[in-house]
Amino acid sequence: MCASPGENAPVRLSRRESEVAGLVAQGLTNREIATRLFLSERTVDGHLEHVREKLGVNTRAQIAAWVVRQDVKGIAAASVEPISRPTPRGRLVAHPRLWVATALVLALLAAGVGLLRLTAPPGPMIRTIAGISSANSYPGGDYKGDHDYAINAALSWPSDVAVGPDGEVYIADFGNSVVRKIGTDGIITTVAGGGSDPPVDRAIATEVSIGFASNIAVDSSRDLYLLTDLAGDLEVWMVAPDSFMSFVVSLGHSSNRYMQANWNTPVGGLAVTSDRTLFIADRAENRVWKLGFGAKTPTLYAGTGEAGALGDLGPATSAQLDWPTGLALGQNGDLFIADTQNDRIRRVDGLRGTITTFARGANLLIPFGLAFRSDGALFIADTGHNQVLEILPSGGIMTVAGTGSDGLSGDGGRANDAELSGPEGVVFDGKGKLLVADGGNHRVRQVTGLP
Amino acid sequence: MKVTTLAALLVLTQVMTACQSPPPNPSGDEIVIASDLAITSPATADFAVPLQQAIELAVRQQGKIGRFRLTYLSLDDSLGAAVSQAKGVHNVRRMISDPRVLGMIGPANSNTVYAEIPVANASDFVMLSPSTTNVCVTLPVPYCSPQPKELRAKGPSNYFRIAPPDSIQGRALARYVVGNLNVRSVAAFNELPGGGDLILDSFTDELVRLGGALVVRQDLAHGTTGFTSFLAEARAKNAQAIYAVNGAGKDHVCVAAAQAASEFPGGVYFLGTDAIAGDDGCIKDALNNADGMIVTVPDVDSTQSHDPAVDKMVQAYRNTYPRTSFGIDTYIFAAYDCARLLIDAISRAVQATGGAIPTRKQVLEAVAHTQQFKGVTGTYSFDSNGDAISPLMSLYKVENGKWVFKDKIDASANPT
Repeated sequence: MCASPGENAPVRLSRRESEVAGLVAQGLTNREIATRLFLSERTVDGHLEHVREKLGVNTRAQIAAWVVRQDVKGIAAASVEPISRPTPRGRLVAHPRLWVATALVLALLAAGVGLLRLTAPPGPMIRTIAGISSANSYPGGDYKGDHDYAINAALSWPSDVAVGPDGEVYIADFGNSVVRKIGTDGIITTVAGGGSDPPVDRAIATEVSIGFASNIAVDSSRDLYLLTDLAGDLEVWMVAPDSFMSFVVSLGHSSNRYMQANWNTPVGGLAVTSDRTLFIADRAENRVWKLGFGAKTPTLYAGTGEAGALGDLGPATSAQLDWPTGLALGQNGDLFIADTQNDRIRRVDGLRGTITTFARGANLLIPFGLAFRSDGALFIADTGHNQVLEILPSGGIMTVAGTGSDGLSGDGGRANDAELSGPEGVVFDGKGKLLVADGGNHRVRQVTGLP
Repeated sequence: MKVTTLAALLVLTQVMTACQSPPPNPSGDEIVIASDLAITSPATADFAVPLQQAIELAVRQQGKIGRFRLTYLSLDDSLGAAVSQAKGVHNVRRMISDPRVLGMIGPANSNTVYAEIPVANASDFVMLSPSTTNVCVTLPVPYCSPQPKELRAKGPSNYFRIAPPDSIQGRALARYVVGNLNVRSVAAFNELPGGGDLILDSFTDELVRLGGALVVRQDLAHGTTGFTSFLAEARAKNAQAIYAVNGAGKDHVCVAAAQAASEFPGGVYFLGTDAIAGDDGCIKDALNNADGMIVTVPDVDSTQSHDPAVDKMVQAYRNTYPRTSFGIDTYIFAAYDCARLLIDAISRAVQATGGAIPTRKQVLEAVAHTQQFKGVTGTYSFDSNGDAISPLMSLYKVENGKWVFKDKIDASANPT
């Protein structure tokens, strides 16, 4: 994975990429750069694509801003060769020294008024790490790009993300009815789904249909669990690292599940503990179940089955839920539930089994996904507001990513200035980066530099 | 003692108040009609916004019901880039929590209907839809899961629609081909298991009733592009028309029209459903044989009416929303009729209560008892399933490479 500009790790461009970036900063077009460097336009396109990818930016202006910053730091300017070749007719090109001086003045001015922060990252940044489609490509996305870099692959309505013990990223590619994996080398592959027959024990995961698998979790043994609706049956299946599938549990057939074959409607939620106990949210039946490792029968953990919001301060099994979806386990064993239609996050005390409302209010609208950071901070995919939120220790809610409007924008910039489209799943990788299943944009986005 | 009593009364009052939803409008002089349409989803906004406008126009034209000011609450069931059941349910709950809201128009999407009906049903909240045509929403067809009664488990049927269920397209088309084209012998292929079978069943029943016969009926795989053997059989059985039944525009069923040229040098009628209506890809697939293709659409285009009263309303709409374009399958005037129908029912309910605000159940019952309501797209009463008793269907034909409105067909079980 490439470092983004918001990170402290230095970005390494090749000599040619530095040259191209420098000329972009001078305002040259790709054709002009190609002429200047005696390259084909396509080669320049390729170099620019690499530059964008390495910097985690989208626009030429962002590349130019980066060059200016590096130039001030004395990193990149030296790699821009003096220009001795003929310049295109009718165009004024500044002498490199003049350009460097101008850039220095501009950067200092900008730094002086606080527009550019030369040393510290400018708050959480966002970029796409998988998916190429846009919000307008309804009914959504595509299915291609396996065995290539994830940034070049097409996804469709990703609904959940999970991270394995080695840092590999799993994506519930809901619209394609598959689960994809991004290896630590950045290459994406399909690890479950893609066939036409229903799953059976010992089937190879990529040779069966996995139905509407909207939620995933990975345990410490690299076993992948997926929660899926198979013709009205809510089931959990496990995919071992050797790709063989095992049936885990069925929560039974439900006529209420008719509504599950739909975009942006996860079938429930899934969480796995370090001792491989599973928690399963059954959205249609308004219940959360617990299944111990190796157990065959789940036990009711929360929800009476009746849709509603009653029952706080009492036993979780006597409380009402309304479309429970995302689940996350707190450090002390408490289970947090995205109580979607109640616009709340509920907490079940891991010791007492009592339920309380942990977060609610106008800031929450149809929350689907939850994730804890290693320091215990809870992050919420506030799907209805197209944002990701953080619950502060004070109990306040802070927006981490998303302007609130539905759309696709902002990669390479501040996460708060970016648009998301119905984000569903969220998870942290081992390095403190937040991954977001940006469903309507058919992408997985990464937020870095979180305070 | 007096102080104690007063304190107890105060506490009681507070408890009672706390148990009720706060009245959004303390003066109680307002009735609200709501809608749930995906007005911001990039995929559906072009379709949904004109429906929203039509409802708004109907409400504005009415202004008042009795002593109550009539207003409109438009909610959006888009979530991210798409229509959302979750948002739809959320919206219905919001409507129900507001005592001023007595009924809703929408949703426009059949999937969302499945999620919303049970929520609304539990509160006797009436829903009127202009555009949902999925048979399983109202008809107890064996393959439907859940069955309509499961959606309405907690109360009387609360869902009504004026767009006819898809299956009726077959009946309407059979009436047209026999009555207008003098066709008696038809060969059909079906690329839509389940729903397509229902369309073909209703087509066959009506065709036979009118003296014709379905001479070939074949199920083909979705996306088939080789129709030679089907066409050869159709020709061998002297079919006068080919009927293509499918579920989506990109299925390439119109390739069959192109391939029919060699099997039927003298020509053959090519018939289809709304899945290909307005689809330029279909015209392209049909090559030189596109002209003459005929399809049914479960909507009535009021811009084609010759009724002066309808014309007047269409003009009012055009004047208010001059940028709206009218095409096939727009359901704009169906949305207008749904709003008018609901207003009519609320008015009757208000009248029945002596001018007081009616309950939601009274409004629901008033909608169910609607008799011969004359709208701009048709005249409506409802059967026990919530479907219109006298649905109308439009017929479009390709002429000079363009889809053109041709006729309006009575698709009711017992046509007058």
